[in-house]
Amino acid sequence: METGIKTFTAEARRRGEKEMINFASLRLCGENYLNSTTHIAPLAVFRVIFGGMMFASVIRFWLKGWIETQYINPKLFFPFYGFEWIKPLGETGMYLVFAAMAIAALFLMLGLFYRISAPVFFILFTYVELIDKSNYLNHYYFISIVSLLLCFVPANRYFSLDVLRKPSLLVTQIPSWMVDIFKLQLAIVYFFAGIAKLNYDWLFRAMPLVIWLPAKSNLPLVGELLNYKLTAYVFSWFGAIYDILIPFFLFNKRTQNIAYFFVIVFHAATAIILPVIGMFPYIMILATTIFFSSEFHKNLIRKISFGKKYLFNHRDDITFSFSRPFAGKLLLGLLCLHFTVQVLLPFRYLLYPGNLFWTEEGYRFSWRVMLMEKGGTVFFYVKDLATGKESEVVNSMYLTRQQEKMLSTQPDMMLQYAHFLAAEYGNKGYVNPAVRAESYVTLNGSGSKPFINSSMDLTKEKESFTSKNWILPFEEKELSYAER
Amino acid sequence: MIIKRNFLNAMQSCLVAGLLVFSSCNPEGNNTVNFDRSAMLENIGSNIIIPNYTDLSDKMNLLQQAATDFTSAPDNSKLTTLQTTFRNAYLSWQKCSAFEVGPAMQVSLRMSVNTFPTDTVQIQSNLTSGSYNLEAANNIDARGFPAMDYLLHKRNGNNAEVLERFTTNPDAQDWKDYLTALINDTKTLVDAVKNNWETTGGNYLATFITNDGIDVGSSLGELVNQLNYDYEILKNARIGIPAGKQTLGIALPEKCEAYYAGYSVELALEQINAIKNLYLGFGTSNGSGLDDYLIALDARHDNQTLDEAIQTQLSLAAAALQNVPDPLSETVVNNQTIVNTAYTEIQKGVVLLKTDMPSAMSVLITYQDGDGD
Repeated sequence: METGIKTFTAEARRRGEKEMINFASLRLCGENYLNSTTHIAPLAVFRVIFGGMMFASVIRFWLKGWIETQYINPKLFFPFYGFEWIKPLGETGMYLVFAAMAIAALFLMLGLFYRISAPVFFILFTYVELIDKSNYLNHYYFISIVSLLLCFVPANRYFSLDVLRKPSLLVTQIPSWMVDIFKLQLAIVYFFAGIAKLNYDWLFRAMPLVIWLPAKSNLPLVGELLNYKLTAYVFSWFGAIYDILIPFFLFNKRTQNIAYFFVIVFHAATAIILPVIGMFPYIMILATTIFFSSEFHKNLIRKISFGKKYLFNHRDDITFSFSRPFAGKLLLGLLCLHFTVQVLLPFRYLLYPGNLFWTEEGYRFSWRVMLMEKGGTVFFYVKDLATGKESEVVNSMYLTRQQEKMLSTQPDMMLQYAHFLAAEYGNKGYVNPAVRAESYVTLNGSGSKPFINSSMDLTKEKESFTSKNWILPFEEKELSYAER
Repeated sequence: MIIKRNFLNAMQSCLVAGLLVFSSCNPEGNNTVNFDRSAMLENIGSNIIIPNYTDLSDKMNLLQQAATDFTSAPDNSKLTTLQTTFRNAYLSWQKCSAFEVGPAMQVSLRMSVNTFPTDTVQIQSNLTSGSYNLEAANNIDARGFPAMDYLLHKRNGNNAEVLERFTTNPDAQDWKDYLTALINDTKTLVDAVKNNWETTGGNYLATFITNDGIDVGSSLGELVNQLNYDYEILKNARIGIPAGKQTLGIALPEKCEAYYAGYSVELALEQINAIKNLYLGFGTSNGSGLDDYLIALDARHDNQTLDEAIQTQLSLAAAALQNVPDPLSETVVNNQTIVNTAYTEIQKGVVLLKTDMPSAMSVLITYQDGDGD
C-alpha cells in the first residue's frame, strides 16, 4: 500500500502536482478570504462620508438652480438607450425628488432607517441621472454604483442612529469583502481612468492638458508654469502613472499613507487647474479613506463621538451573519457579475470601428475622465417632402445651451434630436419631414472637421448598439499636421 | 519591496522616455504660450469698447438734437437731416452690438435698443393712447432703433408721407412725443452703459481687465460668448430669417433690420466689420486681440493657422454680403441666390468662431454654469 501511495504521489508530481496543490490552496485561500471578517468601522465611516457628501452635493445642485435649468426648463430630454421610458416629473415633482434625495442622503449619513434610505437614495439619484444624458458625468455614475453597493451591506449597524434606536442591530465584525468591494470599485475607477490615458494624444501630444493648462495661467504662483508645454507633458504622464498605480499603493498597508498624500495633491491640483470639475475631487479624496485600517477608522469614530461612549464603546465580537446563508451566496454571485461587467465595459469600444474619441461609441461608463478637448457646431435641416424645400432649425428654440453643447459632439444625441425634430415639424404641417445635420467637430486641437454624413436622413436611422455608419471617419493625417 | 522598486524604476523610465519623446517631436512648435490676456482685455476695453460707446453716445446726442429741431417745426429738410443722423446712430450701434458684457448685459442693451422686426401695431397703440412704459416687457419690440426706423421712414421712400405724420396728421403731436420718447430711452441706456465703462464713471474697465481668467463669467469667456451670439444674430435675424432659411425658403422681407429705411445690408456689413475689429483688437490701430491669442496658442485649422482661417472666412463673408444689394427686403425675394451665397459664407464663420476658437482657448460656449468630469 505504501508503495502504491508513493507511486501515485510521484505520478501526480510528474503530471503537475503543482497545479493541483495551487488550485486547492487557491480554493482554500478564497474560502478563507470569504470567511474572514474585519471591523465594521471603515464601512460606517464610509457611509457617513458618502451620505454627507451626497447631502452637500444635492443642496449645492439645488442652490445653483440646476434643478430648474437641467430638469424643468428643457423642452426635451435625452434619455439613455433602453431607458426612454424614464421621464422627468415636472416642476413640483422634480423638487420633491431632490428634496427626498437630500433627506435620504442625510439619513444615509446618520444611519437612520438605512434599509429604506439607502435604496431610496440610489433609486432617486439614478432616476435623475437617467433622465438626460447631456448631464452625464462619470462621477454621477460612480455615485450610482456606490449607492447601489451600499444597499447590500449593513453600513448602518455601527455608529448610527439605527443602532441607537434599536441596539440589537449592532454589529462589529463583518465579512472583509463588504469593505473590500468599495475599495475594489474605487480601484477600478482609478485604474481604468489611467488605462484610458494610455493613448497617443495624451502621452505624446499632452492633449488636452496642453490646451487646458495655459487657460489657467492667471492663477497665482503656478500660473506662469502652466504656459509651458513641458508642464502639460509632466502633468499628463504623472496623471496616467498616478491613476494606474495609486490603487496598488493604496491597497498596500506600507505605502498607503504616502499614497493618500498623493491622492490629496492630485485631486487638489485637478480642482484648481481643470475646467469645471465640481465636487468630484472632494468625493474621491474623502471616499479613498476607506483604504485605511479599521484601527484608523475606530480611532476616528472615537474622536468624532466627543466622548459619547455609547456611540463607539462596544464589545468587538458581534459578528454579522446573513439571516439566510443563501442570501450571502446570491449577493456574492451578483457582486462577481457586477465587477466582471465593470472590468469588461470599458473595453466594449473595441467592438466598434474608428477612433473612440471621435465617434464616442462605447465611451461612457468607462471612467474616461477629462480625457479630451472636443467641441462642435451642428446645423439641423428639416425637409418638407411635399415641396422638397428645407428649413434650418434654430437649436436654441428646443435645446438648452448645455444640451446643444453636448449634442454637438455626440452622434447618439443628434439622432434623438433628429427624431424629435421630425415629430415637431410634422406637427407644424411638414409632410414626411426628413432631417439632416451638418456638423463640425474639433478634437484635441484638430481644427473643426465634418463629423457626420450631412446628406443622411437621420429619421431613417434607429438607435442601437451597432456602429453608426453615418459618422464620418476622423482623419488622422490632419491631426499629425496639427502637431507641429 | 522589490515590486515597489520595480514600479519606481518603471515610473522613472517612463518619465525619461516621455521627456525624450517630448523634446524630440516638438522641434518647431512653441514650447510656451506667451500671451498677456489682461493686456488684450485692456486694449479691447480702452481702444474698442469705450471709444465705440462714446461714438454711439455722440451720435445719439446729434440724433436727439436733430429730433428736437425737427419736432419743433417739421419740414422736409429737417426730416432729411434727422434721417441722416438716425442712420449714423444706427450704424454706430452696430459697432457696439457685440459688447453685451458687464454694464450692457445688466440692462440687456442689445435687446432693449435693437429688437426687430418692430411691432407697428403696438407702436400705433402706444402712440395714440399716449400712456406707455417703454421698459415694460410688452414694449420690447416697440422701442429702440427699429421703432425709430418705422417712425421716420416709409417703405416707398416718400418723405412727404413721413412728414404728414408729424404735421397734418391729427395724431401729429403723439408721433412727435413718441419719437422723442424713443430717442430719450435709447440715449439714456447708452449713456448709462458708457458711463459705467469709463474710468471716470463706474470704471467697469478695471473689472474687465482684472477678470482675466477663462471660466464662465470671466471677461474673455463672456466676450467670446457674446461675439458668437452677435455673429449668430447676423446669420439668423439679419440674413437667415428674411431669406426664409427657417421657413422652407419662403422669404420674409418684413423681418429685415431697418425694413423701412431699407439699408439692412449696410447695417449688417457694419456689424461684421465690428466683429472683425473686435477679433483683431483693432481700435485706432491693430492692437492685441483674439487673433494674437490664437497665434500664441498655436491653434490650427486644416493646413493653416486658425487665425488665418478665421480672417479669411470673415473677409469672404463680408465680401459675399457686399454683393447683396439693398434693400435686402427686395433682394430676398428677387435674388435669393446671392443672399444664399452670403448666408453660406457667414455660416462657415460660425463653425470657426463657435467651435474652433473657444476650443483652442478652452472657453466654454455656454451661459450656464455646470460641472464637468
